[in-house]
Amino acid sequence: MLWACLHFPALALNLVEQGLPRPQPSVVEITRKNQRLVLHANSLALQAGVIPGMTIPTAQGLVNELHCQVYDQRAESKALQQLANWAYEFTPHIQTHGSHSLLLEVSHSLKLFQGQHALAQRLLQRLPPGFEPFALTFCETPMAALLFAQAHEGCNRALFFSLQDLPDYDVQWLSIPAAQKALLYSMGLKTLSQLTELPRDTLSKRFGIEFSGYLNRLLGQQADPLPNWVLPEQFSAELEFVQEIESSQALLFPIRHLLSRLEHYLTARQLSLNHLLFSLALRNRSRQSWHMHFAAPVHRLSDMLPLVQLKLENLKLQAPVLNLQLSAQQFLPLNTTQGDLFSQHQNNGVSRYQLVDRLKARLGDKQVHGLGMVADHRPEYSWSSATPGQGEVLQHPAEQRPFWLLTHPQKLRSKKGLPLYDHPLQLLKGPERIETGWWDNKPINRDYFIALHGNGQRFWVYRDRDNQHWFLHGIFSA
Amino acid sequence: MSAAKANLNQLLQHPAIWRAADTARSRQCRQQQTDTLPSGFSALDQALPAGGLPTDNVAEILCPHWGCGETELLSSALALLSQQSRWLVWVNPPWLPYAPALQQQGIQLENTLVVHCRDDQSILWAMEQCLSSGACSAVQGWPGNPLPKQIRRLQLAAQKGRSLGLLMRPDSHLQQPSPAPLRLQMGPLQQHLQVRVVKCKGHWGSDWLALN
Repeated sequence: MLWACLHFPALALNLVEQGLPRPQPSVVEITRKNQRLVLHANSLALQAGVIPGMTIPTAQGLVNELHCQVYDQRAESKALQQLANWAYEFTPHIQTHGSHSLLLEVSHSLKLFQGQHALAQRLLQRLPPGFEPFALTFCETPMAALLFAQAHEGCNRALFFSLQDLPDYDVQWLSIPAAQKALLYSMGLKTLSQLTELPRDTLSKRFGIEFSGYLNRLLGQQADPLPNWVLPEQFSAELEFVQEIESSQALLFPIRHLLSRLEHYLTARQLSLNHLLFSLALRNRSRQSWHMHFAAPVHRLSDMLPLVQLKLENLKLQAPVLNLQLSAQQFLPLNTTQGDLFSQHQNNGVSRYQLVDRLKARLGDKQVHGLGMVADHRPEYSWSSATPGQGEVLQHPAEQRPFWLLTHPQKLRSKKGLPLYDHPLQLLKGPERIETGWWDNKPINRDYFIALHGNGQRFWVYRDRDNQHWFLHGIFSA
Repeated sequence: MSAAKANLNQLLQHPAIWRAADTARSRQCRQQQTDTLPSGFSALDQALPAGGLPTDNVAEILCPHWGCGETELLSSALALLSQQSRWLVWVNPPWLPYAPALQQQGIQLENTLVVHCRDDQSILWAMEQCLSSGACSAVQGWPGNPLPKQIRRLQLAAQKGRSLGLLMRPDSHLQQPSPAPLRLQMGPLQQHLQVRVVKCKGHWGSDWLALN
């Protein structure tokens, strides 16, 4: 077994810095005994003399424009979960430990990544930016990897250890309660070698069964299985903006960031999707959200981003934006066998369905549709605006139908029982009686005729048999 | 001197050079060069130098009013194009293309796409997107009053995506300059369809043709 531990000692501070538009001295504050204290300080603040543990007023006295953010445990654990999702690329055996560490079992991934050094390099390459300081350590047991990571916290590189390196380390790095550490010190036990030399049963008598269990797991004398990591069933990610965003175009960059996370998630779960929900929290405490539908399932950032960009061009923000949320709930299996290599037509990288998406993104969902037939004798119900490419084809009616149909029949004046359209119309063919629809309260009772206009046009007109009014319903192509 | 003449003769053989006196030869050249789409009317095909409608360019159709036979003129060409697994697009049609009638005319419904736009700018945008995507066999649009440079853009898009752009315009726009390589004018509907080739590349226009 080989375990890797990724340790992020200042995760809360990383989150604060990621939300800042430009680097500035910032600290994470925590309230203890009615005192606001500095929990973490970034490098700019440290240079100015801020020290963790200092009170906030003192720190503000030292630094102009110090950005203070209250410690948010929920956000921190969420960020750690997201890092765990990210690590799914390397191994399915992942566990979060505490609120700062990730434990990865990587022995099964060594062959794929060609050794632990190559794997470590790849991990560091793929680590999202903005998570420094960190430590990446490798060892045979998870607890040992964690111990080394904590001992070398903030080294910002990969370190490789074996269990033989343990004895030199100080007992302060053990993951045990502080009271037990103090007890060990008072007994004169400073290093792990001194501790492990003692008989285990006396140790467990003095420090409890949990302590000796921990030592066994640390030294690899007891198996330490961890459950497989399960990626969440649904994707949801959000970004908080320290500075409000006022133009919809400025949202593109954060959206791109979220979409790249989504792409990563989809790759890990081998899924694609055709629906996304964006939601914005606004300054006026309302939410603005919009849905994006894709005509064909997508799973790549490069397919999603151009459509989002088109959508943003038309988006009007109701108020400045504080928070952006992206969620996806329904997924489809990934189907990568698309496209035709030997297609006769030069395809400029845009598939049929990508084109539909592009049109819909700019013009609106309802403005783009395909055509299909419906088994109904009523002319206005015998067609449907189908999803592009999925229109149903049925046996066509025996009688001639006009190429163009008026969505709403136009009422015609009449003279001596004949319809008028500027001039009297000459009835060429008919009547074709259509009397149906009694079952859904939209009955029709009509006599359809093909009528000739003075300018040569042929119209499809009908006489409503209930009130003898004439209507224009269609125009023949010739 | 003779060398210069030989050079000149060689130059005149170039298929891009059109000589009015030599229409038969230029027609031959063009037929070899581009794919054409038979319109379904032999009289019209003969009047067109390429022997049919272009498959990767823009054609303008000028009508006295909508519904004067322009759909019948195009229906056989569109039915043929709809067999490809690419979209057949109507951008902002004056009325709704009626699915049962389309099927009667042999148009594949699963390849049809109707796009409604709110303004002229979107019509031109949608047409350009469709034409240049390569995912459409033909795009028929009813733009308001496009400028020559806008038509030129559509032409370039059509060539890029290898699709046929059909610009439906009222015949009051006949005198406006247009870079479209093919302009057809529809006459008032009588016993037969009346069509006139106003302008086409590599040939003279034609007189009124009665199609049946």
